[in-house]
Amino acid sequence: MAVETLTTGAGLLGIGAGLAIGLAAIGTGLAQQQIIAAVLGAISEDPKMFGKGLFFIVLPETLVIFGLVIALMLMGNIG
Amino acid sequence: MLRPSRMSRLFVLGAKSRLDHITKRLQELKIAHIIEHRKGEYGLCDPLKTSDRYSSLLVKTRSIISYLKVLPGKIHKRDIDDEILEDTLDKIQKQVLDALAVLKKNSDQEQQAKLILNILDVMEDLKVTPGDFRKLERITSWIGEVDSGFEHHLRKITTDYLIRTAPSKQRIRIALFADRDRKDEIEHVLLRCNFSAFDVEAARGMEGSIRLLRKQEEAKISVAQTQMVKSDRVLEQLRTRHGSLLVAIEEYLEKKSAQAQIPLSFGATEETFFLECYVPTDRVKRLKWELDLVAEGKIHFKEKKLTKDEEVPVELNNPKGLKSFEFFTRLYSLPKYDEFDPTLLMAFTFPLFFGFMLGDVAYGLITFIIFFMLRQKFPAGRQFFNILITSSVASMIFGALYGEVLGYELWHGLIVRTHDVMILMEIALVAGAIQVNLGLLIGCYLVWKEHGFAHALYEKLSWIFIEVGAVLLYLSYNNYIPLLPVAGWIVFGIGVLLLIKGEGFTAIIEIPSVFVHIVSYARLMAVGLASVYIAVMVNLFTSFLWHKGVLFIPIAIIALLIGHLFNIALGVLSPSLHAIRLHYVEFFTKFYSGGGIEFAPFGKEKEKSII
Repeated sequence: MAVETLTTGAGLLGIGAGLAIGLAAIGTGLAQQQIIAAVLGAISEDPKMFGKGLFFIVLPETLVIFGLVIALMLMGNIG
Repeated sequence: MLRPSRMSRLFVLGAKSRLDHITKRLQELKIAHIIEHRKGEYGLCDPLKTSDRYSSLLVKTRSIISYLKVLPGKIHKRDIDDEILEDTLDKIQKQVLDALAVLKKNSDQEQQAKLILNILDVMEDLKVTPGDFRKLERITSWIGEVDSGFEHHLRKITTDYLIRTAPSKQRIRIALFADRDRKDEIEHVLLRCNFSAFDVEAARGMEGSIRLLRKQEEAKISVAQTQMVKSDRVLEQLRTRHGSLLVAIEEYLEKKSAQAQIPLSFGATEETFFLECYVPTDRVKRLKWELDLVAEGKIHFKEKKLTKDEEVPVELNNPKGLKSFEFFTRLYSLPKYDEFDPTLLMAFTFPLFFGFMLGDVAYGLITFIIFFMLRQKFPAGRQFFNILITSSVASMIFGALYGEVLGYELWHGLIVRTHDVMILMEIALVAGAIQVNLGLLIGCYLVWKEHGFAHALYEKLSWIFIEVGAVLLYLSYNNYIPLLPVAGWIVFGIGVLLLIKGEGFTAIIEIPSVFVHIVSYARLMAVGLASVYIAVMVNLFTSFLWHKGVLFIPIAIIALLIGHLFNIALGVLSPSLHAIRLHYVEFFTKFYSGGGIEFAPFGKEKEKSII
């Protein structure tokens, strides 16, 4: 059974990986929440802002990508 | 290609007698970006004599178009007879205004009748008739709503009145008749009970029973509505008959009016006019030749040297196949005249990044077909769809490399995305390192040319020293190369010192940014993985349903379709936005500032875009 062979350290690494991506996703969500509100306001004023607005919305997604990179690196150490 | 078109600044002096012909030719040529003349030693040139006529005709045409609600659209080219324009427009305007007047009259009548019907409803409720409200010498009357308890207050001051009441939500409707002598006192009570009067003016003077009056008003409404439908039909006929002619006239007048008013941007003396304009250098000869011809030799040209501070308009100069990608450059900001035009680089890397993320043969094929059809349907968005079509092809090529079709691994590709995550990440980071450093090198070249080598070294090359230092440190500390870490520290230190010299001490906090920008390219792997995992999950779910029994097969097919369509929608949106972002944020910031003004030659209409 795979579960039995896992050490405490590996478990902690797994939790760390989860936290890395989870917290990063929360950060991205918080940032996007405000950007999306502003972008929707801008679009209702001028529908031409749609393209630019969409671009601004994805800006904070970098955070979650960094989270993923860290998570992958941690998971690599478990193996 | 990598630079906007070269421009020349031309000074043109001509005889006023040929102004008409010269402006007309300038408008047709569409190659001169006119610089507005500022009033100074020489005044402004007067507009052409035809200016007033065309302006007023244009206003008239636009008002008819707005009355008729003609929608802009593609129209067939028509020949406009300038001499009978007034007559044509007057005739159409009269027909339109007549139809509108009938429409308005009937609409007013309908409103009035509806108002009376409302009043009649209230009166019926209170069991009174309009006749009860005729003006009497001794009696005064009110009709409206009051708060409950009104009659109690009223009785305190008089009992000499007649009241009809009916409940109305929280309040009470009343029709009250009383002695004119007590009017003020009663109104005081009414005020205290928040009386709000109904306007019965429209029904005043009417005689007869409510039923009869209602029938009369309903008949009026029906007549008015029939008339309104008729007028609408007339307007509709006018719209189909004259719509495209009006749009054609509007375009013709816009052109004529612009031609008549362009001399306002010129300077003038008594007998001559002069103008300054930017013309693409390769078209200067043609402009001179053409204008000389229409001016019958009464024209003189002088080329002026461009100065450094001058804001020269920018005309992007890319081969036809790459023109579509100018869309992205414009979306960010046009380059300045002396700047590097990044369109060519984007045309290469955008589809590459897109394909790397959405690498699936079937997805690529489906998006290719969808965007191809959309391009036919919306010609205005041609540029944008061309980019996406190119990207779909890239998607198919990468799909073949990964061996992926709808998330299934049909053949063993060079990279298996679900297993080789770290390889994907390494490729993404290498792509990032290449693009970021390419940006730095281009920036270095531009700064070198503009401000000299020292500035280029401090501002741009310092970053490359820092990067090389960091890589050496990583390799030496991990014993990948037989080198003491001190070498890495020295290179890193030189980079930091150069940076501080160029940008000041605060630049130290910026040092991680170059690495952050490179790591940011990991999104190429991340977005791709998200896409492939969604596809795999959809497939797993479908096969689970498929094996559950014959009854579940239709559900499995629906799940497969919806799942993959959702993934395709997400798969187009996300990779394109992230690919654009990598260019704008990570790449452009190294060498590009933008802010150029668009080359807008006289006579060229503004291009329409979809976003």
